[in-house]
Parts: sequence; C-alpha cells; structure tokens
Amino acid sequence: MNVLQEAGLVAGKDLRIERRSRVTLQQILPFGGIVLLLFAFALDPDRGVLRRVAPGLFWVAVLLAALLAVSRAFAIEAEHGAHDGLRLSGLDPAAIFLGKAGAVAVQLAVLEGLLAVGVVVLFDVTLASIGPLLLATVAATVGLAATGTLYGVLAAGLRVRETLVPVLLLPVVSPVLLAATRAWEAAIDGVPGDAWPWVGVLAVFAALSVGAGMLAFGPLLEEA
Amino acid sequence: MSDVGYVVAGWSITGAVLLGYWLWLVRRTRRAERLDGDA
Amino acid sequence: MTLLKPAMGRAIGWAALGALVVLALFGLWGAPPDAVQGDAQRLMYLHVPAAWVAYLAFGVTAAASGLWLWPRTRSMVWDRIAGASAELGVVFTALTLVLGSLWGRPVWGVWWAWDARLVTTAVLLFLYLGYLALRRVPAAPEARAKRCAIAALVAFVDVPIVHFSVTWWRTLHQDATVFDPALKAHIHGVMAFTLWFGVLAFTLVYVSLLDRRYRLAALEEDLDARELEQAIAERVAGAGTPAPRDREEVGVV
Repeated sequence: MNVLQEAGLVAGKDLRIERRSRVTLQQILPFGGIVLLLFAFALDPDRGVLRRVAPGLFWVAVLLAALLAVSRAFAIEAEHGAHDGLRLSGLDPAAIFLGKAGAVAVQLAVLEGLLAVGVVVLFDVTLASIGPLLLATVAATVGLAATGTLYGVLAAGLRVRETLVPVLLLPVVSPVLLAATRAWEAAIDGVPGDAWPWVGVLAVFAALSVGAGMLAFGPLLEEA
Repeated sequence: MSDVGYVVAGWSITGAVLLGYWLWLVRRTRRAERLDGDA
Repeated sequence: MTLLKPAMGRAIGWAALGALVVLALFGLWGAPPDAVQGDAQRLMYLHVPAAWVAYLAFGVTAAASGLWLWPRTRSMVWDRIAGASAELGVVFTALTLVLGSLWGRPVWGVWWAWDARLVTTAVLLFLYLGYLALRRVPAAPEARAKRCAIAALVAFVDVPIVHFSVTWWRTLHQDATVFDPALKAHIHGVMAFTLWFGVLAFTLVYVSLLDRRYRLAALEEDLDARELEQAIAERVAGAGTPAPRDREEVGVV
C-alpha cells in the first residue's frame, strides 16, 4: 500500500468513528453556532457592525471549533490506549498523519459549511465571489487541520493535553486567521482580486504545515 | 505622568526585572547545589 | 555543568553589570534628549536592546532545538540551552513590550498600536509561553526534549509568516504612519553610541544569564535523575516511596 492509500485507511477509520459517535455534528457544531450567537451578544447587533466583522467572527469560531476537533481526533485513541496500536500497525507515520489530518479537515469543512450558513443568516452577509472564497477556505482548512494534528500528536500522551494544545496551537495559526479573514473580506465586501495574495499566504502555510507534520508525526507518535 | 515619569518607570522596571531574575537564578541554583550535594 | 568556563562566566557577569551601569549613565544623562521626542526617547536605549535579545534568544532556542534533533549532534546540552534561552526570551520579550508601551504612550499617545513589529513580538511572547508550558510538563528528558525541539522549530518557521502577514495587512490597511518611534528618532553621535552600547550590554546580560540558567537546568536534571533512582531503589526494596518532588508521572510502573 502506498502512502495515500494508507492515509485513506486512517482517515476512513476516523470518519467512520465520527459517523457512529457523531461528536462533531452533535457537539462541535453547536459549539461553533453558540460562539457565533455569543458574538452577537457581545457586539452591538446593529446589523452594520456584525456584517462588517462577520468574516473575522466566522474564522474565530472555526478556530475554536478546530481546537475541539483536534482534541477529539486524539481522544479517540487515548481512550483505549490505541496509540500503541497505531504505532505498531506498520503504517507509515506520514500516512497516519495525512489520514488523521485529512479526517480533521473533512470535519472542519463540514463545520465551516454549516457555520457559513449561520453567518449568512445571522450577520446578514452575502457570499459573493465564491472562487477566491472557496480556495481561501480550503487552504486555511488544510493549514488548520495539519497544524492541529501536529500539535495534537505532540501533546497526545500528556494529561494536560486539553489545556496545552490551545496555548500551543493558537499563536502558530494566527496568520491563518489573519489571512483567511482578509481573503473573505476582499471576496465579500471588497475587490475580489485582493483575496488572491492572501490565498497565497494560506497555501504556503498549508504546504509548510503538511510538510512539517509528515516529518514530525513519526517521532512524536513514539512518545505518545 | 510627564515624560520623565515614563522614563523612570521604564528604567526601574528593567532594573527590577533583571535583578529579580538574577536573584531567582542564584537562589534556585544554591538550593539545587545543596540538594545535589546531599545525595 | 556550565556553558562557559567559571572564570569566563564570572568575567562576563561583571562585564554585563558594568556595561549596564555605563548604559544607564549614557542613557539617562550622557545622551541628549531627542529633538522631537524629548526625554521619552531614553526608553529606546532599553527597548531596542531588549527586542534584539528577545529575538536572539528565540533564534538560539531554534538553533539549539535543531541541533538536538539532528542525530549527529544530539546532546542534552542543546536541549538545556534551548530551554534556558526560551526562558530568557520570555523575560526579554515581555520587557520589550512593556518598554514599548511606556515609550509609545508619551510619544504617540497610545499604549499600543497594531503595526507589524509590535504584533509579531506579541505573538512571539505567546509562542514562547506555549513552549515553556510544554517544557514544564513532567516527562522523561529525552521525550520532553523531542517535543520541545519540534515545537520550537515550528514556532521559528511561523514567526516570519506572522511578520509578513501582519506587515502586509497593516500597509494595506493604514493611512497613519508606521508606529515605530525608533525610525522617527534622529539618531546620531552620542545617541547612536548609546544605542549600540545598549545592544552590547544586553547581549552580555543574555550570555551571562544563559550560562547561569544552563547550570541550573543541568543541576535540576541531575537532581531529578537522582530522585528517580532513589524512588526506584526504595520501591524495589519494598519500602514506601516518598512523594517525588513535582511529579505527576514518575514513569515507573
């Protein structure tokens, strides 16, 4: 089996677990939704303000949801001490990384789709210029999933995992928040062409994080 | 606060932080040396 | 047990102290007040050197982490250096931000501004804090070293990305001038000398403190290892195990 097939195996396993347990759908998605709602409480629901900051709020909600998704991705193995199983499975660690990150990315994508609907409805936003918007979102999602999976495995064996991953991950992915928000702003309210450079930044980040993850996952899994 | 106030605050904080950290290092090191020597 | 030979360590320590005193003399008295910023500009002689050390320490942490990860150069020396430098880095980064605020307030009327350098430095602080949090998690030295080294390198690659993104963001966004008092100060003569001397002084302070912090790390590692041996020996002997210091996981079944 080649790396991609192995990755597919791992991703399939994670997604199957999700399909049966529905944690993403039943817990993480409502969490994202309530975050959006809370923003309306915190800011003036005078439609003007929310509409203007909607892209940023969307991505903050996605970021917070990603923390949960990553935590969940490693909790499913931690529960049953299955890290050892993963390590001994003979699968290429880089493939395991791609598989796990891929599953997180898929779950994030679903979350983003639904949260985007929430944003359109709650904050009165029109999603124009789908092209740059979608590409930015894809790149951002890959970057978040990859970096999240990297830090997830880094903290996998530790009892303080749940408080440690956020404090490690959020500063590192701050450029993703920045670039994704700017790309969305350009695509929605501004000149859509302005979004492309930000898409570039997101793509670079995504590529680097996938690369770093593939390299580091194996050594880190040994310690999990 | 006049400009001088900010300057004094800045230089004092710097001195305090550097001194404080150095003192902390010295104390922790002495403690570790003591405990290590006990073995 | 130390990075520098004891005599060298002492010499640098004294040199650092002397340099700080000289810096204070020049910074607070010898250098004239700035034509535009007045006396407030004297904070620059601390802020810029502190920022320099903050980034230097970060670079050292990253380099040491890389050297630890590279099998041919792997040694706990690098891990200790990485950790010690990170701790110093936090101190100097926090100092940089505080001094920057204190400088910005009288000169620009604001405690903070969203320009690339400030924001990147703030992110740097959080990257450091995360690294230190990771370091404090109880673990076998090798495992901890591995985790921290990878975290440090990822953070190191991230900083330029952050800086670039924010720079670009702010140049697109702002009509105000770039908030950087250092650029606006007319530096020449005594002021330039004082500034560079400040960089030198702070570098000496960094080296001196790094050496001490390294020594402390080595001692505490020794202590931990010894306690672990003791705990194992006592467990094997059947006696009750005394509560290990600062431990959640002893790593011994």
